[in-house]
Amino acid sequence: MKEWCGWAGTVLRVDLESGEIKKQPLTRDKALTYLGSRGFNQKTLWDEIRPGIDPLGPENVLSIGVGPLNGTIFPCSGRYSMSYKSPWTGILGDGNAGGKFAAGLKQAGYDQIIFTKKAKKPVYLWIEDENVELKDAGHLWGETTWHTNEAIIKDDKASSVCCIGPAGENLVRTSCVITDAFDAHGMCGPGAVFGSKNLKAIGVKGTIGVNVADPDRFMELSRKVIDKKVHGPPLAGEGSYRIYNVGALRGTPHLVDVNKADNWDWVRYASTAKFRAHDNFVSDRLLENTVRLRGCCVCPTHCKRWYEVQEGPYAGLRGGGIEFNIVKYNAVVNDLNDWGEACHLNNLYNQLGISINHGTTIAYAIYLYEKGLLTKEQTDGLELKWGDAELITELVKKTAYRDGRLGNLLAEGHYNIGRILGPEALWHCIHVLGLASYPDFRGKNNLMIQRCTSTRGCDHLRGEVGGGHIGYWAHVLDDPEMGRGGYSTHGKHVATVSSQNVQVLFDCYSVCKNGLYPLYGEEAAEILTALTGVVFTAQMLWEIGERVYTLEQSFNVREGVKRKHMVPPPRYFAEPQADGLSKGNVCRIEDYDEMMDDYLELRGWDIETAVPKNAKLVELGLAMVKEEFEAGVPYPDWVGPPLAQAMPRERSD
Amino acid sequence: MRPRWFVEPFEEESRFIPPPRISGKCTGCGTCEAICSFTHFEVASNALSAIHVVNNDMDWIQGRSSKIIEIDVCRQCPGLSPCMAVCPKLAEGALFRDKKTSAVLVDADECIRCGACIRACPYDSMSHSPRLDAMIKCDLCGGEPKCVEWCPPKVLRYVKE
Repeated sequence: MKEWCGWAGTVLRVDLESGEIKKQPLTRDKALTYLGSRGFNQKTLWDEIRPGIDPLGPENVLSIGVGPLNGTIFPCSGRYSMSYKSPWTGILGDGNAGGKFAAGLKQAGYDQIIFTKKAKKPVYLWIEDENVELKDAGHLWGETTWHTNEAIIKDDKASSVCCIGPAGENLVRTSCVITDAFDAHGMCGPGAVFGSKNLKAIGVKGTIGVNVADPDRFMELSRKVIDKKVHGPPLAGEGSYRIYNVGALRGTPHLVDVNKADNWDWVRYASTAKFRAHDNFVSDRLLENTVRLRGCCVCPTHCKRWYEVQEGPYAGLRGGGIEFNIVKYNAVVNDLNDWGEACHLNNLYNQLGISINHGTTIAYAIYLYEKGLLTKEQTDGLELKWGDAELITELVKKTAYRDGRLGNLLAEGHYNIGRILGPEALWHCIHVLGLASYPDFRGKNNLMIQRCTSTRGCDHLRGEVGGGHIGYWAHVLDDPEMGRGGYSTHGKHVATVSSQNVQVLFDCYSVCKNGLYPLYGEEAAEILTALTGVVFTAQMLWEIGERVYTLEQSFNVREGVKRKHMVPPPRYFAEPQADGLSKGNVCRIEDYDEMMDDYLELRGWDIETAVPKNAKLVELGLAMVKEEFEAGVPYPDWVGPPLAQAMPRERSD
Repeated sequence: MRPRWFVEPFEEESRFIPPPRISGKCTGCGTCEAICSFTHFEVASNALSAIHVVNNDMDWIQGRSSKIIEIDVCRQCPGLSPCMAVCPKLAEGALFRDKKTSAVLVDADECIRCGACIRACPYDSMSHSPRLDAMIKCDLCGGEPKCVEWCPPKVLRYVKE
C-alpha cells in the first residue's frame, strides 16, 4: 500500500526572516479531521495567530492549502485556499482561486505552505518538486502581476505563478493575489499580507503527481461526475442549477441576464434600482468580445474567457478572466457604460493586483462626496462623479500607488474609510464585518441571515442561499415553505447552516463551487474513499464542514466578534429601497432576531454572544478551543484592523 | 501501406458550437494531460503526459503571437518517422510500429535513453522522465485514446489517414 493516497503528505513551513524552509510530515489525524485546504488553513491560523495582532505585522501567518482532490483527474479541481488575518477587516481572511497553481503545488508533493515572519528584502518562493528555495525578487518589486508572472515562467519554467502587483507592495488593504495572470484571491486583502512579508510571488512546477488508492474506481467516478453534473441535464430537485448550464459559455456574467434594467441592486451605491446601461451588459454583448473560453486546471466547465474588445474607445484591448463581479462591483455601483470599460478595468485590477471588489470602495467614496461627507480638500481637488470610466481608472491607479490623500484613503478599503471619516460616513457604509457583497439583501431574509453569519464578513461564497439555492435546500430537506423568498423567515437558518457546511467541504476537497455544486454526502464520500483509501462516510464529511466553520467562528470570536457585530448595516434598517420592484424593502430587526436566535441555536453557539458553546466544541473535537475560551480573558470588541501603520507612506520615485 | 491512426487537434471555424457546453476551441484546461499521465502512470502530472497544452496567452495579449494555445501531440508520422530515423537502436527494436494502430512505440528494455528522438520530433511530443526513467510517447492507448474521450470541448479527434 502506498504511504499517502490523495494527500501529498508534506507541509512546507517557510520562515521568511531566517530563510529557513522546513518540510514537516502531514499527520493522519490532521488529514482526517480537517480534510484539506481551507480546513488545514483554519487549524494553522487558530494554532499560530495570537488574538489582536496587526495583520500587516510580521506576527501574521499566511497559510496556503490544497485539498485531496487537487492535482488529480477530478473535474473542476483547480481551486486552492489562502488564509491569514485580514488587513481589510481585522478578522479571518480567507480566499479561494482557480488556475493551475493548485495542481502544480500538489503534484510537487505539498499539502500546505505556511509562511511566518517577514523577509528582510523582497523574495519569491520557488518550488520544483523536492527543491524549494527563496529567491531574490528585487528585480520584480514594483512590477505588475503580468510582468512578474511572465518573468518567473520564463526564468524558471514554472507551470504556475501566483504573485502580487504594486498594490500589494504598497499595503493596499483591498489588494489581492493574482494566479496565472487572471485568477484572484480577491476578498480580505491577501496582497497586502504578501507585501507586508516582502513576499512577491510563488512559482511552482510539480512533476511527481498524486497517488490514488483505487485508480480504476476513481477514474470511473470522475467520469460519472462529468457526465452527470457537468454535461448532463439538471437533476431532479436541482432544477435551480439549470443556471449553470449556461454558465459554461457565458460564465458568471449570465447573471446579468436574469436582472431587469429597472430592477438592479446597488446602482450608484444602492441609491436607485435603475441601471441605464443594462442592455450593454447582457451576456450576448460579452460573447461578441469573447475570443476563446478558458478553463482552470482539469475543468470541463470553462466559465472564463480570453477577450478582445471589438468597438469603442477600448477596441483592440486583450485580456482574460471576466466574472459577474466586474459588473456588480464596478459597472453597476459606479454606473458605467459598456463591456469595453469593464474589460479595461478588469485588466487594470489584474495588473495592479487589486480586488475587483475595490469598485465598491470607489462607489462609496463617490456617494460620500455627493452627500458632502467627503470634501474636495480630501479628494485632492478631484471632482467625483458617477459613470466616468476615466475617473475610476485614475482612482484605481491612485489607490495602487497610495498616491496623494485620496489614494491613501481609498487604499484603506471600503469599511475603513468609514472609520476614518467618522460615524456619519460609517452609517452609510454597506458592510457586514467590514466586507460588502452583492446583492442588496433588504427584504431578502434568506440572504440576510447567511450574509450576517459568514465567517469572513458579508460574502456569497460561504454558503449561498439566494435565488435557486434556497429552492434546492427546500427540495432536499422536503420543506416547501423554506423555499419562499422575501420576508419569509421559515427554515432559513437550516438552509444557511446546510449550505455553509457544504461550501466548507468544497473548499476542503478543494473543487469549484461553480462547476460541481452541490457535491456532498454519499456521493462525495465514495469519491474520497476511492481516492484516499480511507473509508469516508457522509456523516464524517458533514462533521468536517461543521468543525471547520465553528473553528472559523472561534477565530473571529478571539478577534472580538460578537453577535452584535454580525448585523446588517444600519442603513439597511433605516432606509428602504428607493425604486424598482423591491421599492420599500427594508431589513426588519424582528426578523433578524428571530432568524439569528434559530441559527445560533442550531449551530450550538451561544445565543447572546455567538460564541461556540463548550458542548458543541467537545462534540466536534475542538477541545483546544474550549480550553482557550475557558482560560482566556474577555476579548476586546471588534472594530476593524489597526489603521495607523498603513497610513501615508513616502513614495520613493 | 497500413492506415495511419493518430490524435489530431482541430478547432471549428465558428466561435462556439451549441449546446453551450461545447466551446469548439481548446480552453487550455489540461484534462488531456491529466488523463494521459493517469492512464499510463496512475498519477496526474503534465510532466508524465505525452500530450501538451502550451499556453501563449501573455504573448497573445501583448500582440506578439496570434495563437493563444497550441497543442503538442504525436502525429505518428508515416513511413520512417523522424524519431525512428535517428534511433541508434532501431534495428534492435527500440522504436517499433504497433501492429494494430501503426503507432510508434518504445521498447523500454532496448531503448538506451540517448534522447535523439526527443530532439528530432517536429511536434515536441516525446520526452523522458528522469524520475521514472520512462520514455513518454503517445501510444494511442492501444486504439482508444483517452485524451480524445475526455477532452471537454471536444477539440481532439482520432483520425485515420
